Amino acid sequence: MTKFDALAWALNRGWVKVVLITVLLYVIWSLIYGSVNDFWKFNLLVLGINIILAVSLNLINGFAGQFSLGHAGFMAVGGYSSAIITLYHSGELSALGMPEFMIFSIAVLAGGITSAVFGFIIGLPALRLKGDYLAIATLGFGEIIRLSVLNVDYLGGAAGLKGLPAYTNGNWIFFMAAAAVIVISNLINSSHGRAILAVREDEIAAESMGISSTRYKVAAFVIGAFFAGIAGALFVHNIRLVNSGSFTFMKTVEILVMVVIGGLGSTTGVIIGAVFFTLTNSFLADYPYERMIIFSIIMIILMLLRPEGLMGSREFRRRRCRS
Amino acid sequence: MPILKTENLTRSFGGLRAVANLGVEIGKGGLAGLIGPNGAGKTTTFNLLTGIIKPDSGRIIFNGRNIAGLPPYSVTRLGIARTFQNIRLFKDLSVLDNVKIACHHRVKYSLLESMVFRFGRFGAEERKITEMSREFLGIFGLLKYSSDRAGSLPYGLQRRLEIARALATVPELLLLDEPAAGMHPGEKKDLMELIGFIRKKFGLTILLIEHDMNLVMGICESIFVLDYGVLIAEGPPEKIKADRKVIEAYLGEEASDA
Repeated sequence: MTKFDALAWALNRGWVKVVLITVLLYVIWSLIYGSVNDFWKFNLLVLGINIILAVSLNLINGFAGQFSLGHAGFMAVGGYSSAIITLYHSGELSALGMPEFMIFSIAVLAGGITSAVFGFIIGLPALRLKGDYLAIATLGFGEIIRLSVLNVDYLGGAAGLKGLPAYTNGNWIFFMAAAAVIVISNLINSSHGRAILAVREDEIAAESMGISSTRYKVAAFVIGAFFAGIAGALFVHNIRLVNSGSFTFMKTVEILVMVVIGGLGSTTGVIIGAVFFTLTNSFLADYPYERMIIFSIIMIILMLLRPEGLMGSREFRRRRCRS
Repeated sequence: MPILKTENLTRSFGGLRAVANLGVEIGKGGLAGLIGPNGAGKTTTFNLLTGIIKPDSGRIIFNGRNIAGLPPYSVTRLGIARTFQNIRLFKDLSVLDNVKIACHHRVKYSLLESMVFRFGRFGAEERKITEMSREFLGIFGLLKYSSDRAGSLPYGLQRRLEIARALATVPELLLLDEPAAGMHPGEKKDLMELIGFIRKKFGLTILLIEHDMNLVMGICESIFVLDYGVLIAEGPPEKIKADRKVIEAYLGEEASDA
């Protein structure tokens, strides 16, 4: 085997490509993150969180085709669960000899898992509904979560919990965003992912092919909720405050805008959507009032020119489907 | 022992008895036809057999087991596959993916393995699925379209793809709902030869709904005739052709004073 054969062999392995691209992007990310001022550092962290949110909402709305508007609610669950750990239990954990990194890992994971459990409990009954009804039900659940939290003193009530440690940093954001993208792409490019797509395309046909549509709708919902919870945990440890005001319906709309701009059902598309949305927002930070107007105009133009979103449902790579 | 047997199968929609006390029996390896005028309850029967709608009463015995009331995906896993009268492909997915989806219920790797732990059996299983799916596409002459969007195929090929997809679930009993609808005579003939071929190759039992009488009489070994949800005749084609009730159902009664 010559050197080139070995190289070709390696490049033909999917995971080698993934590792190479991840390392390359990490280098680029570190260079950019290390050289910008604090304002842009903050915005880059927001960007990473938005990518996780957009990619996970796209799994539910784009791939599984279940129109959910409860993503901010799952973020809230993740945010509060992780804050409970870093704020109330960090003393006990560090007494066990755990470094900060470990404590935050546990907090983020707890945020994701709690959110996934909520996703399961909410998803199982709600996913019996379709279309508009599902959207309204999930919107309702999101608001119920937010308003419940608002009335729990343990969680700080209306003021929320302040003074969280600023654990979220460039590395955390990069690797969690990469994990979300890789895990969700892996899922979609597997037999289980094809089952999710089949349910979106035609539920009756999917059932007739031996696929339990409930199982895969709930699976997509739970996995989406898991990553929304992780994003919530990273979010609250970036702004160092967890407050139910951060997780209103408008937050869900923001995520939905990123997904729709990028193209429902395209992971690369919604990443571009998240980048576009976040950067536009931060470039217009000096014009807080004009911002919404300019943003609306951009949205209208985009919807006129490309109603299916920037990428449609295609991925930015070899095309899987000729049409 | 028959592979499929229904006993008193009944289903009403409001005041309409779509299927009433249906009792049919299909022997293993047989090729049976289900015919009847429009609205006779043929597709409802298929929907009952595959679990898409639940019967009000009655039993469906498949391989000695009552499957009435099971959800469609369980019925498919037990070995009954079907196609649809109005084609139900996964239109926005590729032709190959359509067939791969039908292989899904035999996949052994878990959800977690597909997302995170992609070593071990994941690769081998995926290769197996792809290879098998390509084989089915090959049998139906669809291999060269494998990366096309399923919805972009011409009508006749979409019908073929639907059968290929049903076969990929590896059924024992295949239900075809008007497989030749909308095809011209040449296409119909090819399709019928193909159905005969896959029946032999995979040892299938086939039940088909079809309106083209020449075709039904030509290939079916036994025929069931439904009218207003009631089984009015059954037997070999020659007997059905001569059956007075069948002729009446299709052509109307003779004037009584004639």
